[in-house]
Amino acid sequence: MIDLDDVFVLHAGVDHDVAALRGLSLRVSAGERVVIWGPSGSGKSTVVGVVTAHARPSAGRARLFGTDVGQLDDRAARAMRRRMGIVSQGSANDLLPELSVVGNVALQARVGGAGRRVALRRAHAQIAEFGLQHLAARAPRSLSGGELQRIALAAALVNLPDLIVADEPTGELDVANAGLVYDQLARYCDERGAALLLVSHDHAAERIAHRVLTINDGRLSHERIDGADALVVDRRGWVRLPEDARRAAGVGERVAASAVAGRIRLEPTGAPPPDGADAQSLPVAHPGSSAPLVVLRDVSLDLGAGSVLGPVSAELHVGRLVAVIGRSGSGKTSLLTALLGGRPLLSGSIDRSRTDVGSNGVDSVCPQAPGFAETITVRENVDLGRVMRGQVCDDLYSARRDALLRDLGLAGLADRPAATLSGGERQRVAVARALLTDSRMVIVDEPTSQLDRTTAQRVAVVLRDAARSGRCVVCATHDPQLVELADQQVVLH
Amino acid sequence: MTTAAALHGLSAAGSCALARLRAHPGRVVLAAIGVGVSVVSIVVIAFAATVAGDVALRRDLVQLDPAERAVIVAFAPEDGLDEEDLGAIDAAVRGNLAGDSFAGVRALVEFRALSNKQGDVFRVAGVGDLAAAVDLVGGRWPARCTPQRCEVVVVRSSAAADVAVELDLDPTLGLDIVGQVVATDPLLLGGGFAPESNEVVVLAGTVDGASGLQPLQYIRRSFGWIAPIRTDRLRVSDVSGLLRTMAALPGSIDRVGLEVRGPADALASGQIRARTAGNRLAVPAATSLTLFAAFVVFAGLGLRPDHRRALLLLGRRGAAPSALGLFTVLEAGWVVVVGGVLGLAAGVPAGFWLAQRAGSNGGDAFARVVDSSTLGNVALFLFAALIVLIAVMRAADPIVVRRRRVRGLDIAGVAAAAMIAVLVDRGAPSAAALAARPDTGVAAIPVLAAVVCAAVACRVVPAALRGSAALVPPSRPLLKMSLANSTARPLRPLATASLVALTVMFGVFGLGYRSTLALGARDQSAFAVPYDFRITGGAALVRPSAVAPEAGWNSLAPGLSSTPVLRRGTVVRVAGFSGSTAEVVGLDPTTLASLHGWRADFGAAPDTLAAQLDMAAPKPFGTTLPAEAIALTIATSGLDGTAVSVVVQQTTGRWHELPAIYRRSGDWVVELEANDAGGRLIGFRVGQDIEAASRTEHHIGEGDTSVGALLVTGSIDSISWHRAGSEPVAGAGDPLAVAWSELRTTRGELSVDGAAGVSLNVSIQGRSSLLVPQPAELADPLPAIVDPVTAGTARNGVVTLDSADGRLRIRPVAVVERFPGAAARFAIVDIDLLQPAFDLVQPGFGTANEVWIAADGAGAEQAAAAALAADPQLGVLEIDRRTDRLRDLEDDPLARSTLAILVGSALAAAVLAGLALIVGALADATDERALHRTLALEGVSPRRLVGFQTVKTMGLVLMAIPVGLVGGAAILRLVTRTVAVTAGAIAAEPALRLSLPMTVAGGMLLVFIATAACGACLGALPLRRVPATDLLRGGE
Repeated sequence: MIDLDDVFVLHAGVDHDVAALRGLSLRVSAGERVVIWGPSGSGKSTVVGVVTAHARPSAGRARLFGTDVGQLDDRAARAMRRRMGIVSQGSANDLLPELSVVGNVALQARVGGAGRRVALRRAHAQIAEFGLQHLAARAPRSLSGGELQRIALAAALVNLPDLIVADEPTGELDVANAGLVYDQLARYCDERGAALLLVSHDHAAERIAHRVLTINDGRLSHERIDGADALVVDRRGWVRLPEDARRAAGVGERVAASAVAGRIRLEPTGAPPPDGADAQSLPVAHPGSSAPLVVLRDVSLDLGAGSVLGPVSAELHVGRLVAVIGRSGSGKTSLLTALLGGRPLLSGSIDRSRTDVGSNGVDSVCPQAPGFAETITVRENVDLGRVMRGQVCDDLYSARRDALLRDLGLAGLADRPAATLSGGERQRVAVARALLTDSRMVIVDEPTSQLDRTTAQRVAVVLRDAARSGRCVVCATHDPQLVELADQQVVLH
Repeated sequence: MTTAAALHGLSAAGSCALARLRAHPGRVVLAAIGVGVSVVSIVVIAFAATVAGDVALRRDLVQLDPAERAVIVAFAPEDGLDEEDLGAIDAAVRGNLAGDSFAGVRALVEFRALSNKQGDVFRVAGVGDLAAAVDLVGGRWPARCTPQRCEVVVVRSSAAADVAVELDLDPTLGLDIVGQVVATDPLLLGGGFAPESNEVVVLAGTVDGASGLQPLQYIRRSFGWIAPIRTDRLRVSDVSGLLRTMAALPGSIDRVGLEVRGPADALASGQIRARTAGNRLAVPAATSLTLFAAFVVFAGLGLRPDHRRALLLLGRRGAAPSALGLFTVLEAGWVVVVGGVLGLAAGVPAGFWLAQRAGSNGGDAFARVVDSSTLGNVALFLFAALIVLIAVMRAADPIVVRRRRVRGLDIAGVAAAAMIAVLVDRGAPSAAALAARPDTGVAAIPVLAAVVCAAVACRVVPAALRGSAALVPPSRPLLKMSLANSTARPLRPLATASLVALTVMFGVFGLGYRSTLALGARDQSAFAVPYDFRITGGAALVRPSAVAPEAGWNSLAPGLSSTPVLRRGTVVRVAGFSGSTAEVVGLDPTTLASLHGWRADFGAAPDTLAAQLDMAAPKPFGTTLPAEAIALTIATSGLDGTAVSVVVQQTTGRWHELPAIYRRSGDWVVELEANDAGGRLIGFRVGQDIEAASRTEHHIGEGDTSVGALLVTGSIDSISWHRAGSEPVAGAGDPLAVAWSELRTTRGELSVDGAAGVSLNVSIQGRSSLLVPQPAELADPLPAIVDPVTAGTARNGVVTLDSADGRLRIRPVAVVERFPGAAARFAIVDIDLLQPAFDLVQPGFGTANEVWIAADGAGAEQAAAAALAADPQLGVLEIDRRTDRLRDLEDDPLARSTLAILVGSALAAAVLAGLALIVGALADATDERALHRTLALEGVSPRRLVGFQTVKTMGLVLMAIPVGLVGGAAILRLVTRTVAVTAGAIAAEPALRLSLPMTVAGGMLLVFIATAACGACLGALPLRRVPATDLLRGGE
């Protein structure tokens, strides 16, 4: 059904071209469910683009349903897309806000060639199958994120596609909602014999996968089947050595390879790799000072639509990384906003320590979708937090900034305009900006939602280290890695 | 995909578009306003052009005499005309002159003048519809008219009893006077049928009755049909029909001796002016439409993100290209339909109002607007707007060529610049060409210039903003960021910058073109009347000096200075036998400083020119005639059989010839006229007598060259002058001491014997020999200021000018492009030199034929005007007043409508730009929501956020303004050069020159900047209230 053979994709840019895929080969058969993992910028979305015929290979061959994508004109590509169910990360992108839920699902059927009545009948049936018939007449804007994503999935499947291509369909969902989406995808594939290509950061997706593939640097690097990992060797013999194995073996930039009794033996021949941040080198967590910076006493918040958060009580201390956790819609962001003084409390109180001085009364904040001055550099954007607070940007600060950017994997991007950053890179730059001010309270909202596992681990470590350096870092998240590193958890129900 | 499936796909796209319109009808409002304003503009301009042309035409016609405002059919049959023939002609004439353009047709018959036994001269006429043309002031109306007897009324000058006319008529004439009337219609017997002032007119009440009166059957008569044109209803669109009718009428009746007269020239001129003005309006119309179209583009860009999101969604869901196409067409189509309907709904009433206000019938104007191409233009514009919107909503992202983003606009900008170069190279269409048809190239200039300007703005503004941001110190991070980040999401900011640049460009153009046309009106009036008044002989060909006020022109009012002007047409020999006409104008160089129409672009300053022109006048020559002299006697020998005359310069300075009357052998007498005594005897002319000269010329004309020349060998021996009371006979008077030695001739040989006289030996064939002095000052070519073409004909520094009466040689001392009051080809000469030079060629030829009067201030000018109007003697002269001309030009409806459209377009543009800035700022605040919330989280106060956003918008405005200024100046120059007609839609004389009132422009620019700042601030105001609850939502 999908047959990518040694595919290269180059994106032309103003400053330089980007090789998004560098000889990727991938086959997916009918009825097969394949999950693709990979760090930010590894080429996952480009694979989705090629598979949905939105991107054409610069070299290599891509066949879909037996047809060469490179030979397709626009009309044929659209016709081919009608055989697919495409789900993307932002559900809102797949639903027209002007149509009702059932209208949106029916729209998919109509563009597929069904008449209006037939389309409506099929849409109602599809929504009922997902157990969402009570939402049929509602407008998309009145639905929660999980509901939106499931409706989008229902729409994608209403034409009974042979292939489902899903790009981060659960990126903004909590575990429970993500699980529902995975279940529905798996059930559909089983019932219809359809293939699934699911691109995700979420390791929970593995449970519905026949195969889990990992993309690194535009190539497949790992394959995992039934819990067993294997490195992928492509037709040209490229193999990507795992970072931890490489470090453990002291492999630098050169190795000598030899075949010994059916094995390939690699021996380091150059300098060993430099030390880098990894989970093993992280400092041990310790409790903060005894005097709390902020005290939440029985805090209740009105979340709208009849929902109420709380009461929540917690003491937030300097020196601690505090994880605020809970399902989607539980009020994590609302609680952070209340900490900033931006939401009225239904009851209870939030008390700030009178010793909390030196931050101009402005906490450092890293929102989930941070804003940037797009035309200035990453470094200037990072400095903005201090500059706006009137804090000194001296040499000491510059050294600290550069070190932090390096820790966050942004050192090479420091001089690029913010407009050229990917979503994950933007999240990390925003984290850096928040941590480089002198504020004692740092509030971070979902800092790893767009990051791959390794990078998310880096960010988590940086946040924990920032707390250790005398801050109170409060972080709303549903990332287990971050939760695991947190000194304190505030659980919302 | 089957056809049914494809149709379902299309239906789905249509449903989506409809659902989106229903959900967000306000989304299309802004773009629809742009389309609507454009349609209003097209409709109102069409109304304005139609109405202004009508009003200008009527204005031109009203200024004519009543007889010239009518179509008159005159027929004077050689033989009589029987009743049947008369009826046929009458029917044919009435059939041709029927219609709303005429206020009916009145027939008349007029007999030649008769006299009664008392010697009273009277004229008999018969007039149709008599009661409408006269008022009965005595007796009764004529009731009966048979072939034997006809009742008539007598016309008298007024209703007063003391002017009653007593007229005895011979009873055999068959005329019975039954009443007296006063004419109320100026066309009663007008248009060539007017009787002499000493004639009494008797009128019969019918034409056929009077014509059939037996006693008058042998009296010669003329028939006439007078159809006054209804100047209150006449429309430009009627003119072609009227001209066709007038041209076709003689042919349709086909009678020898029938002629048709009418204001054909005035009608054709009015029509041409209206057409020219209408076609010239293509420029402001294209300007407005381009700007409005730019606004539509801007508004379309507002629709683009949302439309593309929906399009992407449909595409992702597999919608067919045809369905996507339909979706875009429908989403753009709503805008166009709503805008079109709104525009027509607003434009038609506005046009009605405009027409009514101008005194025209709104419904009629509307009907003609509908008949014209206006609706087609509206449809064309709507279609173009649809295409533009579709293009904007679906335009691809920029392509990258060699690391540089190349937009479609870049390519379009380069192409437009190339096309402008081609258009400029093509040159300006003539006024006649503009009158014939709209010039596509002229209309294209604003459109092309707009494309270039937008392309430049899109390249220059971001670079300028980045440069400015780099100059801002790090201590002003917000300012630095606001400038640097202005074009972070480039599409809308660049559209805003382009729109601002276009607004400024067209604002500058509108202001400058208006000022240029207004200056053109001043230049035209000053060029036609270089001082404050120009007095010429007019139709009566009476020299102003002949009827000058008793105390002279300067005495008309205090503060006046007058100067005589001599103007003659000549031919400049160019090469071989070819020549071109040139005007020779004699002026007093010391008065050049008073020229109103002088422009620096003509050449050197007037005082410099005056210095180059001014030379010493020749010393008086000839012989002074005693003040008591009334006659001269001339003693000659050998001149019998010739014609002799003397050349005299009168005390007024005028030269003329006085014929000498042959008395007896060798003696001639010359009777002096007034102003001759005290003047100077300049010389003599000897030629054939008139009869012999005519005979000779006749023979030569017939080709008989055998006629021998008259050989004259003789002498003028002495001259005596005579007082009043004495008999002017030879030898009886006092001798006149003539300076014989000064005399020269260009024909024949002269010999002078001391003081005894002059001998002449010449061969004359149909011509004469002039014996006059040749002063040294006039022997050399006269210094002259000439135009470049005339200067180019100089050989050895001398230009030869030929006239019917002789030849004049001039020496160009200065070359100027144009000279006020002179034709395109000219030679300006000191009048003190020119007059004697011409008079020596042909006595009297050097007499001044114009007077120019300069007034020292407005009061003096008005007093002079009043004095000139009050003096009945001056009625025969044509008095041209500069301020009257200027007022006429400024009040011309075509000029006023053009200027009003320019101002209106500029204002509409400014309003739309302000609206665009507000909308742009609001949209930018939405686009940059994430950044604003981040800044708010970083502690930036709402007030500073508003300032941040305002600075961003104003950065675009301020960087775009210079682009617009440069573009405006460029397009003003282009259009002024390309459209060489005045505000009143006639060929510009002199050529238009650029005018941009810098103070006004600067003031308007400041107002625009202030308005833009208000708009930008208004658009940023929502940032005052970033909801605290949304702070962490970022860009959601």
